Amino acid sequence: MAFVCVLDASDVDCDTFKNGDAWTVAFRIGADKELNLNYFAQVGLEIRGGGGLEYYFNIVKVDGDDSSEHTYWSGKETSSFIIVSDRERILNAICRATVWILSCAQPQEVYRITYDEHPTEKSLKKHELICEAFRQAGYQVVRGDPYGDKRIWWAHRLAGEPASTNPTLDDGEEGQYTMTGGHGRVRL
Amino acid sequence: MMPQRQVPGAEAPQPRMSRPEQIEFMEQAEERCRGYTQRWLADPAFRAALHRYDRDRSRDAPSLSEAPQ
Repeated sequence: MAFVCVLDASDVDCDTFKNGDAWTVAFRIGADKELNLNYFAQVGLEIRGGGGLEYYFNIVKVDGDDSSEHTYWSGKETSSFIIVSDRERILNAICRATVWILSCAQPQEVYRITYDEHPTEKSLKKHELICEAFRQAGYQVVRGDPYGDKRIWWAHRLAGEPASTNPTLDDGEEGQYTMTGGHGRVRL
Repeated sequence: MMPQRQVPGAEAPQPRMSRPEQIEFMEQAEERCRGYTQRWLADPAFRAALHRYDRDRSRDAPSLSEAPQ
């Protein structure tokens, strides 16, 4: 048995969490039933010391046998067990979750940095899709010129730009999205 | 302030991050990001959501009454 992508072509079921100004969204992307493993994508916004928020995403492997978690930060790690077509579906879902979390948090400034040093062109294309998700959510995106080993992007929220999300609530009803105790479920 | 490359279609606002701050931001990125996720994993509600799909292996095992005598 191996990683099997469980993402639906149209819907992404997300758990959304808020703690102060920090937000995170998690959704299941795949499973290895034989090994009792589930895989989640996590998209987050955290308070940056110098102002604004920092955006990040990763893949979390959840082991149902020993209740442990392992986080993958680099596509170089996940490429060994997730095939290309599934990686594209996962990235698409991450982009949708990105628009969603930005519409929830509505930060004025968001900073983002590559986890890998010397990111490849392929990796930078992935980040360009994330930039597009930011624009879709009503942000201007500026990329810092490369120096050092990583790449930085900075996003600034445009006044009056509505975030383009149309989620349905967990119970399938249309209506106002609400959170209880800093947690809510939504279908994007 | 380091020069910024504008993404097509966007005007070029300047980030409020000096060059030394950007370098520090880069240098501490891995540790910082790992900390973010570790903090969420310490949240019982977040962990419960991640473990929602765990298969309970004890349910798969035959109970004593079902075991061959």
